[in-house]
Amino acid sequence: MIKVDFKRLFLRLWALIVNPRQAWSDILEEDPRQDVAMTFVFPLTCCCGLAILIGRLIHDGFAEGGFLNAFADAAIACLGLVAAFYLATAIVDQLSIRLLKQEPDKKLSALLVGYSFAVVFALTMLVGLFPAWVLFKWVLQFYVVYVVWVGAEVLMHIDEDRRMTFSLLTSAAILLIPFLIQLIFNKMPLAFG
Amino acid sequence: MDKKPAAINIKNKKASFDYEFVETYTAGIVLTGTEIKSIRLGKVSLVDTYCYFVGGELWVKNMNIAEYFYGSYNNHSARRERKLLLTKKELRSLQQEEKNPGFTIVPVRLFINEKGLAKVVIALARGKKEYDKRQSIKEKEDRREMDRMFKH
Repeated sequence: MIKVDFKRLFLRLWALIVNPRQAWSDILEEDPRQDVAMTFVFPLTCCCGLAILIGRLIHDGFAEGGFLNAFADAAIACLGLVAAFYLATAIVDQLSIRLLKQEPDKKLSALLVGYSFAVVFALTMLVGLFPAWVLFKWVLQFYVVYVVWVGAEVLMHIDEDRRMTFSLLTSAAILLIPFLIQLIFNKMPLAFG
Repeated sequence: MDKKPAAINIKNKKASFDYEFVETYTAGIVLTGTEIKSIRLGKVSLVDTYCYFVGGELWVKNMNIAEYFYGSYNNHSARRERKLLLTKKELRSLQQEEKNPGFTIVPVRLFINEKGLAKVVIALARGKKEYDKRQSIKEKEDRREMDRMFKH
């Protein structure tokens, strides 16, 4: 079983936001073959779920409906983040083949996508705890493009011509997939018969 | 064992004042995720709602389910028309009876049952005459007066 050092986890999250170049170099030096899902994505997804649950319960109270809603919102957000991680990794793999004409490297793609989620994780936790700050999330989430752009240079050594296209497509996958999953769960008519 | 009373129980008080209920049915309702979450928080109003048939299906109009606070970009429209779910037999009988002059179908109560499903109690109703309304008010006042007397 992998033991999670939460202090280290949050320091890494902070480093990826404030100084992505240094953070990506540290990740590359540390262990480029690490299992990013177990060490970074899953623990932070759980933190996001917990933040949403706490935020909703503070706002709506512990009444029966409030708890059910909070639990459903947290579960949908977690599902969206995990699904987005795997789908975005698959998309980056395909981009490596089609756009960059490189051999696909699943571990490296997962590393780039997983750590690029730092911005999304931080904003999800923040808005989960303080729901009124949702506008900040809408504006600041686009910072993920810069984090991916730096990561693509440091981790994958992609030349500047194709790096912007690659960064935009990867960021779109990272931002759009959780959005689409939430859209499906909230907009899909369900028969409560 | 006593059943726990439903936490959410929204009544259409105006309907019981304006109409005389002939028959009631309990219907399911087709909702989106944000709608059921709003209902769980009790943010529903049945004022001015009524039901109508389209192509053999029963729909409810004017039911106001407030937007879900956390719904942001994927929220629902508060007053959209919503489909009600009844058995074919119930639908057929309601549709036939509704055709009689003076009859209408109104939602009377919305609640969440013990399984966590939202249900609407609808009634085949006949509009009350003015004197019926006055009679209802008088009955209500008499009942209140009796309660007050018993208390003292």
